[in-house]
Amino acid sequence: MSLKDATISWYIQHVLVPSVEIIDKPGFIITRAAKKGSTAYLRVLFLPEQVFIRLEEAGKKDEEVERALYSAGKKFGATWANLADFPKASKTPRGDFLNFISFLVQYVGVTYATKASHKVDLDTKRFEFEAEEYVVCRRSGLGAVLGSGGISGIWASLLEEPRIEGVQATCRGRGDKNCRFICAPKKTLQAEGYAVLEEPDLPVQGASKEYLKMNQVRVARHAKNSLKTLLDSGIFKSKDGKMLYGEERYLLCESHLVYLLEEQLRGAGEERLLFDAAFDYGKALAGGVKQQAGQFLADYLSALGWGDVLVSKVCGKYRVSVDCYPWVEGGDTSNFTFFSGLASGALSVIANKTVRLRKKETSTTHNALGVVFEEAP
Amino acid sequence: MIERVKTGVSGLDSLVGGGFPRGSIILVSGQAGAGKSVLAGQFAVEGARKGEKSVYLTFEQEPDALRQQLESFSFGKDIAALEKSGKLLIARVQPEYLRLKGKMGALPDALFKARLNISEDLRKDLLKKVKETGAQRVVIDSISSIPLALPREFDAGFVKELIMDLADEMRALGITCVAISELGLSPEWLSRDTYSEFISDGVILLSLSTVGATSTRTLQVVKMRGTKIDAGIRNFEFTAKGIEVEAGDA
Repeated sequence: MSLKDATISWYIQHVLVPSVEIIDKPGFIITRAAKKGSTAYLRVLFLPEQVFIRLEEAGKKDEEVERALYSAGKKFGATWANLADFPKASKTPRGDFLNFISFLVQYVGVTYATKASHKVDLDTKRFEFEAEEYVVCRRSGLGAVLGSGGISGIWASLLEEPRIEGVQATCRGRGDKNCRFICAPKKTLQAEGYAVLEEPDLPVQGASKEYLKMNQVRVARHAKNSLKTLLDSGIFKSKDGKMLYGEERYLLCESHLVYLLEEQLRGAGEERLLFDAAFDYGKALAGGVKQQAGQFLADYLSALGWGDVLVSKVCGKYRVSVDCYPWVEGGDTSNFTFFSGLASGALSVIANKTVRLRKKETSTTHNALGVVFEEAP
Repeated sequence: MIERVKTGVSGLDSLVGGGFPRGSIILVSGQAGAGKSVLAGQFAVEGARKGEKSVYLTFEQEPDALRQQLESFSFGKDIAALEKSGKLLIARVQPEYLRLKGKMGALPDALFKARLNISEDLRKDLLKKVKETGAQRVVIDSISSIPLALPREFDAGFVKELIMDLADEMRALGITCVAISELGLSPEWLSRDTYSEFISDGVILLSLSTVGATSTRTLQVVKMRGTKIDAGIRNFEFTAKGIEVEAGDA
């Protein structure tokens, strides 16, 4: 690593990362992406790596699922770049743009991997990202198609070239030295012999006023613990920019990801996969909890950014009410599958029976998204 | 052996070892519409029915409006009879300071300077009603109104001292007191003043979540000194009988 990269890395780990997240408000985690003259606020979630491993495993067995994961990843990468108002290559001096890419790679490297490096060729629109210990594939050994999609989505957005795609050329989990992702125009990748997945339909919208209004931080009425509380008490640990709960790593993701995963997997007829993956993690999560399990679940979900969560039992059936659920445009018609799977799995362990929560009602009054889930008969 | 007083709220006594410890101060906290006044009303009426003199002191709500609210439930049907028999008193607390403020709009400086007299007036007004009736159960609705009933110049430390004194006097008289509070402005605080939860012997938290047409109300016993509590979050409903707490927790 060059001295410049090392300096950037040190800066991100010791100065920037601790200050970019708002983590002391129960129900909310907010990233501030600041640049000259403006600040973008992103509603983010910490999501368990294990759920993504399960999805990637399913993707290796089913091409439709693999395509859906790639599309979700690419749309998410582009959405994140738009929301954070990353500079476009065409509107930024070359040197400034390359500096920004270095900065972004170090940020992604700290957050999702270790020892990240990159190569850029703006003339051929090629971007290579290499890292050790990349999330998901470090444990699955299967590669990460969602990650390929995500990186290509960011690069495609920065270059405003929807036809840029991404592949994972090497994977540490498969026994390669490092994980290496290559993003370039589809034809270039095909000419190099890579099997290329495709998602040409990229979102271009940045953070709307509605997004900022609906995700505005409010005082929680039910949740008592913020992520900071759980970090301060040692329940969660932050090490080298990574969030850990026991042995499980948690990934910082802007909240569009959970909606896009649901939408794309539903399109492939496999929404159930997302529910099941989240459900199994929810079961593992609640395994060791003996007392006040409902309170634990509400605190856990609220602390990870899912909103102000209230878990109760009405007429013997579980009800989970969430005020200030992470909002995205058009998302109120979602089934909220990731959340319902996670909560259902945890409640199944607590109740010692299979509990399946389903969306009962949503509301966007009071400038916030409210969602009620109830136990299905 | 701690003597228990029945709360009158279906499903609550079993969460607190059979009832509130006699002579204890119980904080009931929650947002607007959560059911605090109804719970406190059930507690007061239950006492009156059992022959314990009960006083419900309201700072903001007119007694008639409160009576009307409580009479809409079956537990409140005989409020008029209980009041007539002297077992129950529903009264508005309006210290001299507030009466003057109402008349004059603003208070002269001289009155602001008489801090002790004003707080003494409030304290006396509260305790007079309690002592006169020989009350065994008292509801203060709400403890968050006490700072509002004092001039702004009264600092938080002074108000805290006043509330502590009131609590001590209630305990000394063997009165079981339910003190209502709005929630704190930050989620880690259970009362608006941020210290009543520490002064109190017990804390009951009421929550209300409304999403579209779905309202969810929950009750949680956060603490109760000298009592093995069930701290699970329980759903409760407003039924024709009043508040009924469900048996199973989440």
